[in-house]
Amino acid sequence: MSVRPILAVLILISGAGLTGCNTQSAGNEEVEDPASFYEEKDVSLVIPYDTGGGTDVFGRFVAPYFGEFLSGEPDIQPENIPGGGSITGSNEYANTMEPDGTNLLATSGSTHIPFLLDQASVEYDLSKLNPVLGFPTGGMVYASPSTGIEEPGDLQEVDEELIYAGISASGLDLVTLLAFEVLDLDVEAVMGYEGRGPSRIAFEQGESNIDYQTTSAYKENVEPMEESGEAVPLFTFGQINDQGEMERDPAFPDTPALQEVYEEIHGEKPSGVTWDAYKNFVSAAYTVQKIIWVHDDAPEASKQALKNSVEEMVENEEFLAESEKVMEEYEPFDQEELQELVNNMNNTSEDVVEWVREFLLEEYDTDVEEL
Amino acid sequence: MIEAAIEALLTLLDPSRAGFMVLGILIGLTVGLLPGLSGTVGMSLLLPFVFGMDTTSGMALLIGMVAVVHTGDTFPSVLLGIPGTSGSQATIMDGHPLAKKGEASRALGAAFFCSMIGGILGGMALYLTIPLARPLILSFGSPELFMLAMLGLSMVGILAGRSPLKGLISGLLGMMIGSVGSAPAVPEYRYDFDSPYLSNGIPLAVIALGLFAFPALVNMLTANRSISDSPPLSGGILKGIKSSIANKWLMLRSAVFGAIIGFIPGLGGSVVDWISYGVAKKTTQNNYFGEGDIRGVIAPESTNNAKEGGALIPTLLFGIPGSGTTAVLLGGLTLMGLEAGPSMLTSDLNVTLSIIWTLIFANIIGVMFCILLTKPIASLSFVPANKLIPFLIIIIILGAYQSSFAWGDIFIFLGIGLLGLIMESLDWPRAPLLIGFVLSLSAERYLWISVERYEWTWLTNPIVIFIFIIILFLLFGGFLIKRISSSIQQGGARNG
Repeated sequence: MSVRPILAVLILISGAGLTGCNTQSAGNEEVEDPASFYEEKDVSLVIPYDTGGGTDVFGRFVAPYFGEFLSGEPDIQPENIPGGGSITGSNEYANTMEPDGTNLLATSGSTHIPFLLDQASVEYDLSKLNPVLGFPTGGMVYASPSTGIEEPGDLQEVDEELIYAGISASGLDLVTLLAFEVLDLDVEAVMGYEGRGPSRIAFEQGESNIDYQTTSAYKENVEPMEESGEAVPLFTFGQINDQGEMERDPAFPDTPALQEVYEEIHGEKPSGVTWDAYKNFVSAAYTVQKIIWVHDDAPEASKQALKNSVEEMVENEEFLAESEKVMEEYEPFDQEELQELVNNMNNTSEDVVEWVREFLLEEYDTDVEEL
Repeated sequence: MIEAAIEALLTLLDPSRAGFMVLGILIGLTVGLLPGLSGTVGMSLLLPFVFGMDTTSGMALLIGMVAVVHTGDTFPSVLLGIPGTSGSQATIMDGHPLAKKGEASRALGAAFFCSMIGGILGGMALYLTIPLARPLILSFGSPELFMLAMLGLSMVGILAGRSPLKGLISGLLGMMIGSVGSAPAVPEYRYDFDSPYLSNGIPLAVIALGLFAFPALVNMLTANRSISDSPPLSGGILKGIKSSIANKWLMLRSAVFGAIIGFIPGLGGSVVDWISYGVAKKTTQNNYFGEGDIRGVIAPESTNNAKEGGALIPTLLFGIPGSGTTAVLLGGLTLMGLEAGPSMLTSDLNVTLSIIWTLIFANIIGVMFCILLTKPIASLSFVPANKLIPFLIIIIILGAYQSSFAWGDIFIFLGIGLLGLIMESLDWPRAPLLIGFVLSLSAERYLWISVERYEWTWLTNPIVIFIFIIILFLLFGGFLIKRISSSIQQGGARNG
């Protein structure tokens, strides 16, 4: 009985302490200016993936540049919080980390897809985060010559059943599956491979005969096969511009994007909910594949400082030269374009989301409600 | 390729780069020495530093570290009966009984020597298989990988000790624990009870430490004495090396075996030491494995160092990591502006060759460090338990906690620890549980893919049948040979 009053007092005191802190920091905000905001601060960059993965490499690559270009030159510490295919770390960032501008988040296409699908385990809201820096990547679909396909137009008439080796229907594979759906291809998709590397080996072994790889893996591993006649390039996923239109992938200027293949086969532009779904997911998964975010309710000064630093960074010769090695030939987005693309992603229509959820449930037995 | 190899050697021996290699070796030994920390942790620690380094230096640092983790992890396995890394428990089975008999330095000497030979052979295997790697890897499709997982699982029977039934149950329990979390081929979560922690599955290090380290700690506490009563035999290291040379075929065979298993992607490299131990147990005559047989140290120790060379083949040439460690290594390559793939044999051949040299040198230098350290570290086994335990508890709990930095790690560690303690006191074998745990995912994954893709036609693939015959031989071969040889003896006796 006597515990309760003590507890109450404790809560009161700690509550008062917290409010005290809040007013103090609010008071600081008014006088803070971007130039000095990050002085003598430690910044942590949350990477919701394991060490060594693509997003980890991206985060570790950009972290020192933020340190250099942010005025005040703070120390940027990458912090991996892996788990749940990036959902664990992103949830933690959005809900438990202080929105004080000293915590940043690095995400990838496989963080954006579960958010778009509104998976049950997702507790982060990308519309409450502020994109700071974004990079695109792309993907290329190719087939085995055993299918009899010599050019994309042949896709409708193949010599053997098309078999695709995938990882999980609700991951990045979703874009490929939607591409097949847009073209109305009959593809048997075998899921459960450990990663894109093993699924490429499955292609080389003949276990599958149609596959995709992201740009860097394609250039390194599939182009030699293309030259020796073991792989036939078909189309790229394309890139979505800030108007929502599909363009060719700048890394493969000579290869048609999916839209052109559709036009070649059907003689008209693709349209309808399938096409809208495809475009939305290509944009979220590839066009803005890698993003660095800060909480939207972070102090204005910190957001401004981050913005300034990125503006400088994306103009910097050394950064661009290094990023070409790590991020392929893609260039970082400028701030307005990135914001526009992210807005488009967040405004994906309910109908499209509902359609994709239904598609996953019916075709791939994947119930998004349970993920 | 020989000229290129010599050129790569000279690049590596440049003092600044050799310095990075030695630094890597020291870190690798420390990571191995501390229970629960594995090569993956070492990699993750070093990764931030390789950014911006030239590739030879960066690789010297990373590969130098990886190469010797399984040399350093012998210390806790032999001296304390606690696995130094989650991939090296098999050494405990005979190494620790040897230490209890006061032959710790003999066990360590044999282990170090075999680690060195295994590591060098692994490096050479990497060099020699480069031209063959592609066709070899391409011949292992999902059905073949499934059969290899079955081969690993068949070790459960061999490692079960006196009661095969107990081994089987323990193995099945392991597979069940392994199925916690997201399923490999169907979109569902199993036994996760809506907890984000469990949805990732239980980390290997937590299981391994719980099963082996926790009971060892409790036993040390209850006995409250030092690990060894008898004074150490002087010259033990040399004796260990002599024992290894006396068993040179076992040592070489186990090393080759390790390189091959490491080389096959998708098969958990972390049970390769158990598989090697099981095979040695099955094929060595007059053995007393489990009670301090030096051959029970030789086999897993040659294997686990050789594995690293093998595991680099699919990683470098195909960009498919065979283990957590090589997965991080791939990231390291990207940070240095390289992409794993066929170019590692053409335009970036010098990097590949420098990796091979680093493997070889690191194994030699690592063993030299270990031999120098043996005397001070071996004296740990004479420290009374109540002085050693607090230190160990902290290291081991940290080791478990670093798996995912979540409270779940510690709770599961305690839960599995209690299970391990009960199993130990009831004389239930724990190795089968670990093997079941590690192989459950790949067994399920590849069975699923094989059936989805080929229905049941894959059962007649030649390699599938070949592996099946090996499994049958391992399960029943010893029994048959015994019957045949005894019937020949009887026949001989009658004729004579």
